[in-house]
Amino acid sequence: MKSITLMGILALGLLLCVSAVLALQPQTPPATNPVTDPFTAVDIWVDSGRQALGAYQFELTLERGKGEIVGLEGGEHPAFAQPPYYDPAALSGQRIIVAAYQVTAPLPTGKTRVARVHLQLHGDIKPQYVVKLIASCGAAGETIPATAGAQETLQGDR
Amino acid sequence: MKRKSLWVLTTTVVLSLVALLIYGCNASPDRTSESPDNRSLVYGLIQSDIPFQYPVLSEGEKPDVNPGEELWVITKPNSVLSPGTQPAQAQQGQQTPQPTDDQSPTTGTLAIQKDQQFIPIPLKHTDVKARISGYIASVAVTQQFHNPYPEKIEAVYVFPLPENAGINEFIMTIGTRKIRGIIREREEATKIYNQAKQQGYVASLMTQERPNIFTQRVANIEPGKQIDIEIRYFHTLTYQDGGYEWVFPMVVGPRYNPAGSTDGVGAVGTSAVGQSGQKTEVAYLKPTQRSGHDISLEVDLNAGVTLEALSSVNHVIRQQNRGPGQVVVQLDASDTIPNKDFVLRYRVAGAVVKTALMVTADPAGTGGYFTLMLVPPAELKNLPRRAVEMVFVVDTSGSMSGEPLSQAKRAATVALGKMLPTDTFQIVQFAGSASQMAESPLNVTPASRKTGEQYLANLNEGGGTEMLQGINKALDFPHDENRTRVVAFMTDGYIGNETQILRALYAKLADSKVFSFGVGSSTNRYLLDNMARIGNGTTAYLPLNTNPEPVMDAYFERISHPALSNIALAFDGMKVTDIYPRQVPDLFVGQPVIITGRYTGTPQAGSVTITGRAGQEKLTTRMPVTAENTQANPGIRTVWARMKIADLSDTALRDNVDVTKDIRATALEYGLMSAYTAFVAVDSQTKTTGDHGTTIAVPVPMPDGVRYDTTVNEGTKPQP
Repeated sequence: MKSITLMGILALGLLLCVSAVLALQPQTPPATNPVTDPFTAVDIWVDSGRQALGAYQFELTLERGKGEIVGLEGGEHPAFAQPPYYDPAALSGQRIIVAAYQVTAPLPTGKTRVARVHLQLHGDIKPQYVVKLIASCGAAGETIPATAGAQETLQGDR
Repeated sequence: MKRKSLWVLTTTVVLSLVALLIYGCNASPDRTSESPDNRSLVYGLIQSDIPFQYPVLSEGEKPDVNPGEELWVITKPNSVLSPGTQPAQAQQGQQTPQPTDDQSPTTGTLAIQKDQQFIPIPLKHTDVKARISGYIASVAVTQQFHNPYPEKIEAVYVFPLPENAGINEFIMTIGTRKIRGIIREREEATKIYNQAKQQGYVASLMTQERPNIFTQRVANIEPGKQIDIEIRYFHTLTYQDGGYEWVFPMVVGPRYNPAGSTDGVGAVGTSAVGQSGQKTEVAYLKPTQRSGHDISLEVDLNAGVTLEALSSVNHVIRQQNRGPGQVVVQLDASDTIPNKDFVLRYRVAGAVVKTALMVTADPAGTGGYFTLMLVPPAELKNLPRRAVEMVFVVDTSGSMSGEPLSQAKRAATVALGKMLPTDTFQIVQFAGSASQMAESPLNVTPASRKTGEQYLANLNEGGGTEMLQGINKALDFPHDENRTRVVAFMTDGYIGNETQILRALYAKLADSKVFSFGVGSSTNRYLLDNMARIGNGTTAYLPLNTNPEPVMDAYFERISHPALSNIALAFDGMKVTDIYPRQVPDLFVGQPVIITGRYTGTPQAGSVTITGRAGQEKLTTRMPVTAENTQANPGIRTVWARMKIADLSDTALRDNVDVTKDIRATALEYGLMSAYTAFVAVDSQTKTTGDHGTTIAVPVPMPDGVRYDTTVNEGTKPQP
């Protein structure tokens, strides 16, 4: 009987400890970043290394979260400052495909922001943005190797 | 043993529970995706090694992409200079705009200083730049919105564009930044816009109210700031009696809406905004008022062949010759009030159309798109016409008061003098109701002509525009079996129930032919052109203060010979599909028709055989299609999609079927404005403070020659 009482006291003590530990824990972070503002923008960059970038085409995918394109802006280099074009047919299939080209110098080299995609997000989870570079060309139209990526635009960055 | 086991079991359970709880609190599905500062996120990279043809794609060239990949390229149009974007300064001493219901933008109260000549409004300037190549125009329209008030506003502007414009670009400019608008389903775009507006973001939305009437909304314009909206479109020119015509409409005329309708286009004074009860509403300035809104316009015309004559119907222009067949036309600085259609006419050297066929390769396929101007067979001119039973239908409503009605009377009087003794005629007038000159059509005699002239002279103006009654009067009485009934509608077309009128025409037309005459400086060309198209006739326009005789001469020349009808086309050298309009319109003397379609493979030199009936005769004519008269134009793809949408809309009118889904799908696929799609642009980086501000409807001037007092509802009297 004594042992049973002892076990009960021990169990109660452990539970109290657990409760105390839990109370000291910080609030549970969300699975991913929460959406604080449904309107946001994503900067798309292309890195063509030492070669001049004359044209690009990419597909932007929103993973985990949901959202839709509400505007399309050009990049930082004068060659790609004009808003690029999107593929309306792809958009009607819920795909965001963007392209632009520039034939006159100077063209950018290295890593440059080529476009800014304005989005309206849906739901509570901020999506991950994945950029798939479909094509990249040099000044003479030749295919050149390049990488691309996305970075969420800081609010108010114009 | 039992006690020991129980002890171990209890301890295990409790410790497991603790471990589970602690683990659960800290667990995150993917912590690696979090950014260091929780704001800037960097995501995965994918190496590009896909071959890519450049410059993009030559015509007929197939891109080299991996299976499953989509290579999509748009031909970049020639750049058009945008006007300056200097921020406007807030006007001193202006009244503060009054808040309105944010869900009903057109219900805002316009805060302007009344009883003064100058009225500051949120639309400062419109700039139009057009480039014409062959018979296709590429047009860029920039609307400069600004905020002359001390508080944040939403500007709402109802404006016209050509009814056949394939609008495929929309760009919002804020300072030096340009944001391309996105085509969306209309409801979806409206929802996005309203949410952005509510949350203080600078945003814009363009919707279509009629094929030739659009609404532009620009939200959260801060005091002193300017936001430009640039719209681009392609469309085809008309070709009539040896000359091309390019039109840019500048103002929506005041529309009459039958009692009980709510889907019309209201016309109100600036003190009665929101009181029309119509879904779309236009606010008009009084004749004594002027806004600062002006317009500049430039046309870069490359005819390809020597220009023989060039003139502007309604405006003063300046022109600079740039070489054989090339000229730049500008609106003169003395004529910049946007209150009438800009109409540019020109002729080119040679008796025949030189550039009948225009093609463009489809970047996504092996074929392409084409447009073709079908020229009437020369033999038509040798065929006599049947006797006609001419019915003149004259609009005597309030909007036709003054010079428009006088012009219509002059034109009808001229026409009476050209009729043959074998013909008969009737005159019908309509306003709030319809009436006719005689019990039945009169034989053409000197006496009956005088009767007709007297009847025309005595027509009084005023009242509503019950056009349906005019149609009933003109088409319902028994047909004369020995004569072709020809109905000549003379009207400005200022009604808001176009669908009802066009459906009635389809229902009552039978063997009659309808010719429409647009009277005035800013007519409803969508209605007039479609009345004539449905009625197997043609449209002509009667500008004010001009001699109507040349227009009526051309009209009588057209009806003096039978048209080629029931047309069938056979292409040699091109495999074609998807031709629009599916029913090729009748071909009249001096009136070619433009059709569009798709082709597969590579277009080869060949010919088009046109077969049809002219009266009792079967006619066949061949048009050669060679490299010499084949031109490439990137706008043809857009023109094809726009004509497909028009054809679908016509099917809905004629057969009373729902084509919403088809129109929407076409518009979304080709990125085009339509009744069921809209352009929306949101600048997610410009969030203004405070609520979304006051909605201001942009008031527009009355069309030149149209009376304000007989057409505009000022809120204290029923609509005329």
